[in-house]
Amino acid sequence: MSLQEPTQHPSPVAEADGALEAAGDLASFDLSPQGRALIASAIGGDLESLRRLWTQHRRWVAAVLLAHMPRSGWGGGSGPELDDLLQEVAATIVAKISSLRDEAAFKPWLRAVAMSIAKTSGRRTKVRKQGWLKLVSFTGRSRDDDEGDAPGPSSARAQALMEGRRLMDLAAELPDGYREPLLLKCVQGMSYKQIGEVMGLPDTTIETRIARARRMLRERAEKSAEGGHG
Amino acid sequence: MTNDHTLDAREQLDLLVSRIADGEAGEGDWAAFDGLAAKHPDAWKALARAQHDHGAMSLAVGVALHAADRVELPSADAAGLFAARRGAPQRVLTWTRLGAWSGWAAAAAVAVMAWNGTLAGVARVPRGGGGNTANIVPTGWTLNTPDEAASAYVDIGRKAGSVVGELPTRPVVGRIPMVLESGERGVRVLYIRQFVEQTVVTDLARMSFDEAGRPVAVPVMPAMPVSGPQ
Repeated sequence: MSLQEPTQHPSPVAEADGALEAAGDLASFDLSPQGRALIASAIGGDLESLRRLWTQHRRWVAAVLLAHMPRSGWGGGSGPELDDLLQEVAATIVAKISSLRDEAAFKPWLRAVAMSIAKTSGRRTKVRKQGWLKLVSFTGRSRDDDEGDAPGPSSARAQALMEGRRLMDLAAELPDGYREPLLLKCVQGMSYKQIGEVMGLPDTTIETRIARARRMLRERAEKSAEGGHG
Repeated sequence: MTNDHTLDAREQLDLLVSRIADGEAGEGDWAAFDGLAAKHPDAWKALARAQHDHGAMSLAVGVALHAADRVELPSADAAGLFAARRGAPQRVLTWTRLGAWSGWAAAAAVAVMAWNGTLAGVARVPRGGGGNTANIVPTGWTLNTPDEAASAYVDIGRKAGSVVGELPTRPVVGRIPMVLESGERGVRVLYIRQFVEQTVVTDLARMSFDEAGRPVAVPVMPAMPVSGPQ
């Protein structure tokens, strides 16, 4: 007895191959000799080098996923969640890093892999109509209870967090080209230049996009507030 | 003309405000901002708002991204199996929902199975025969089915001390209605088998946040029993 299979989509790994080609087209950017050597070592198959690179880069990779994944996965809901997708990225880069030929293309390639996986997850979510039940850990805690581990947040911090989440909701509606640099800027320590390296764009373009994104966000927030009061 | 001029001034103010909020402004930027603020009284308010929003959004993004710090690279074997499963045309259970709670343990479990012969095509151990893999697979095991491989995993793991056992419950995480080849209606039920593993560590921490909203590891080592270690 065979069952009718669901609609098939290109696998993230297959799409990563396409991403690899796309990354090769992006302009190269400055890399320190040490950074280049680390990437070369990782491409050559040294898993420890790749682990070091992963530790350095996984935060912004997560931000790229956040920018391109379905909104439902940002904090629960029925879609795939961020750490799930990040694991897919991790597995894909381990499997495909040897295909990378140019160290300078590493960051754009990593971003392209993340974008591909995030977008594929969006398509999968659309196909999968049934909501997944929330997983409960061995201790019986929901994954969304994670933040409960933090010591009691001050009311000011809780308020700021609530406002930040409201802004993230609004940011989800911004065009991709504006949402991504805005979220990357919120990753601690990322400069315009570093965001430009990741996105393959001049830092002046990044700066302009972030400024425009903020204006759009502000206008949407005001509109939303007016709607709320009306 | 006036409108264009106003638009330019607004864009310039947006850029300066954004640059200052991002901590990327130099002395020249501050001087330019002072000049614009003299003509636009709302400039200071806009700056305060931008700084506040950026802080709030960075906090929310930081919370959303802290899951990234838990995601480590898988081994090459686990990544290969993951990629193979992802590319397989008949995919049933996605790895993604196993998520960070099970982490790479699930992939590692599959890797163990592959190592023991089920997936990798290694010669299977005949019942009652040890052969070259006698030190891996206990005598009496056959690995012709996933259930047999899982049992072997539990048995070997128990002997090694790393596996506690399997929980009796199998949470259902998805139900996909489908039409069988015979034309009957059916449901594909996706569920999780829960294996409990254990390890000994000298440090245990949970993720929390400091006052600035940065993720920090908080030690959570339980108190030692009064009688001391057994």
